[in-house]
Amino acid sequence: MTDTTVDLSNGQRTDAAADVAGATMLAGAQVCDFVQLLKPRVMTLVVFTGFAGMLAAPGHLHPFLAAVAVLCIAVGAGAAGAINMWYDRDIDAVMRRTAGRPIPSGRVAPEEALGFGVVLSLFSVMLMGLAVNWTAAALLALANGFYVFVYTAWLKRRTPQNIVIGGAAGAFPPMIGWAAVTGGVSVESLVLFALIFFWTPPHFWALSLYTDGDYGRAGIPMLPVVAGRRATKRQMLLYTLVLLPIAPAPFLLGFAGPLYAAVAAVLGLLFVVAAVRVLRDEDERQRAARQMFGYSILYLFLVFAMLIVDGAAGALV
Amino acid sequence: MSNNDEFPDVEWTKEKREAFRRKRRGKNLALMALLFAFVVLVYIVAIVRMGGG
Repeated sequence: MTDTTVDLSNGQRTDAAADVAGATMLAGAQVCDFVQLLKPRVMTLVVFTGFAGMLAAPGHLHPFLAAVAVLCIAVGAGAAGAINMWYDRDIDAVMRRTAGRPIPSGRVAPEEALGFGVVLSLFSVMLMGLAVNWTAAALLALANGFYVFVYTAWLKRRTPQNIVIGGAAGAFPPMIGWAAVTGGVSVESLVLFALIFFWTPPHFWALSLYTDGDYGRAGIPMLPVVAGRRATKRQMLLYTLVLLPIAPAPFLLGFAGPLYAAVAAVLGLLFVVAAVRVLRDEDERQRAARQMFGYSILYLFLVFAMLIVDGAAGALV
Repeated sequence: MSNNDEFPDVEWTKEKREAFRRKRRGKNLALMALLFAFVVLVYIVAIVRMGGG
């Protein structure tokens, strides 16, 4: 690279590489920064559970419209994530886990992220309504609104129950998938909602047990920060026990087979075991909590994978 | 609008201008691809819905 050193107006000296970097900043964010705003890792689980809800539902949806429904769920969830990053940019900047996000790192302007999120949110709801049905669209709008207004703007900074109530937003996708096929809400789809709703607290609290310093610095009243680690661990165990009979419920209601029930029961028992290990763990590094966080993701993935396998097998028979 | 009008405080070098344009072009192409995909999507949805799907 040639050294084309020039004087800038403020008297500092720079070279060609810095020039290019400066121009890159001026031109705004890159496409990958906008992808990052959509929280792709969270989106994966959202899409997966939404798809499982569609396959478990009785009825038929044209494959292309089903793909559009999945796209709308993905884009809607991503849009809510972008608006969340816009609102939380101040606390994201002080937390190690989130400091590298596009807004606190200066790669995306806050107003650009907000516009991006709002436009995509409206787009996903409108497309869901026009292409699939308006019940699914209303549920998608409700999920987005709940995540942005109830969880992000209201609960997150005010109460240690933030992720318990706010977790409802993440529980909507299988219900949306179900509604995309059936056009309605039923006990079965409410069970799928409950499965994620009661899974969310032990999942998030496992994470917050070893990142509580971060949350404390940011002033977020996560349960380990407010009530302490011991109380949090007891709550985690309680939620895994509540979840134990809910996971096999799709079998009892007749929309999943015995293989699903067996796998869900075993996975549920392992989740309880993980919670007991966390409760007994006195290690300062919270190794058991780290393992439980990883297992919680695997748990949800496998439970819904079994629903997909069951639904696909049912469709073939 | 030229780069100079848009960012009057910035001293533009050849490298800076090229990098700026390259990045803007990439973003515009990505946006165009998205809009095109959306049009195709709406077209297929309309066909499927009219066919009773």
